[in-house]
Amino acid sequence: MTAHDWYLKNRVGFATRSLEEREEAIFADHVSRCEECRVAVAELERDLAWLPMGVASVAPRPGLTRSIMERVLRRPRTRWWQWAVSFAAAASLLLAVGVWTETRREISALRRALDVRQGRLITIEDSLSPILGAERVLQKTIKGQGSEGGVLIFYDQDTQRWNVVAQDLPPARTGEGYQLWFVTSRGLLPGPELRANGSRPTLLTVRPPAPFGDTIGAALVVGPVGSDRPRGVELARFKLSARTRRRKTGAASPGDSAGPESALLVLWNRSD
Amino acid sequence: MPAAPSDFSPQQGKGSPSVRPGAPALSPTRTLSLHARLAARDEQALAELIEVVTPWLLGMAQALLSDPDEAEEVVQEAFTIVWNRIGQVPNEPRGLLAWVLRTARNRAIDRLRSRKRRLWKFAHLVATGMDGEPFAEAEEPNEAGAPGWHVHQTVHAALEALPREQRVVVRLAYFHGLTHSRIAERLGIPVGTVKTRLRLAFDKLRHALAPIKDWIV
Repeated sequence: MTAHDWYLKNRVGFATRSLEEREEAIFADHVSRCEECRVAVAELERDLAWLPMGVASVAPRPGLTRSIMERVLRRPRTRWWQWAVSFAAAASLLLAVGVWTETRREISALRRALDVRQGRLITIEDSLSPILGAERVLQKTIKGQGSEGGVLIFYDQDTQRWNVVAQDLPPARTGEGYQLWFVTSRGLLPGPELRANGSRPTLLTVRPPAPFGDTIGAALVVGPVGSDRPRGVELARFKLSARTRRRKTGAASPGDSAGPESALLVLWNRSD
Repeated sequence: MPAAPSDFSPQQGKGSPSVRPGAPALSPTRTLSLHARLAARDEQALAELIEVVTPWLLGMAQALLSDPDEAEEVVQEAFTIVWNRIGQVPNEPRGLLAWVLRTARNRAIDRLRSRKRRLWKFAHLVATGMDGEPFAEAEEPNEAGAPGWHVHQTVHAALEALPREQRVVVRLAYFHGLTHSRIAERLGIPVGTVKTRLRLAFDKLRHALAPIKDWIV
């Protein structure tokens, strides 16, 4: 008896699927390699093709044909857990996108706010740099008619300008105003009028009259504006130190001999 | 060129029984047409196929599974396979129907095995003592017009013609899905004897069914 005899004896069993599962697997492996057995099994299947019809037919229940049609033709049914997994995945994705979008929006908003604040800080630092770099800064509180304000007076050696920061100055009387006067060796020389009675801080920056070497200080006077001499009340007087005066004299240049220049700047908005 | 058989005249095979009651519902021409229409995704063709074959598939599946609901599931699976794999079905007159029958039977046996229901089946058969029963009586003449009736009659006759000991093992092996060892255990005979009886029985059946192997249901 050869090894192949076992397959010969079990062809019918394989063709009719009555072998044990283990035997069936062995035979299937053999059939895939043995042409003789493959042909023999195919002939057996063909000869016995109608054998299943040896049992009596069973009348289908009403509606079975329609039910089979619907189940065959419809798309594969999705199990509840497949829906759940899909839903959970979609929900997670949406949540992740939402969190990502919201986080990105918050980051962008924070970044913009930071940029704005950094810009303001730079502006403030830039504005304060002359004050911080000044050798002396005069601060004076000014009261009158139920209100209270103040001024800062300092000299910027880098730009060689006098600077006055004023805020909330009490309104001057009719026909009068706040005026800056330069203190020189020849006496007081008129400077620009200081119009700063609003709530916003204002900066007056002004180049002193020539020759610069004569200017040794500045004074803020409230009174009639436009006269050659101060006729009102002197509110504050600022004098340069001897060292600054020496340095200022040496830094004077012919190009600076032009008349007084002034500028009024709004420093910052209090509402911020 | 021979004329194509009409839809209601069975294809006469060489040596086929001289008297074959009833008429087939499907001719070779109609079967080939069904195949082509199924390949073209014609849903009406699927409905026609279901109408003709389902009673026989249900009978076979219920015999194997002893569960009408599960038998319906097997039938539905078989048609799903046919619909989705029509390209693999032999494009010959009897190829489609034979393929459906074999597919349904294989699905039913797979279910028996995968659910380890052979033990249950075996116990069920022992409890009901069905192994000694003859095959169900052939359907009454008033069913003669039903598709496949003539094939059923021929197969039934071939089975009844077997010696009883061979008919029993064929019944248990082929129509109830028991393996050789289970049949041997049930009948109290050696496995080798079961195999011998099956081999002899199927040899006889092949001869008896040879005349109808090219028939159409």
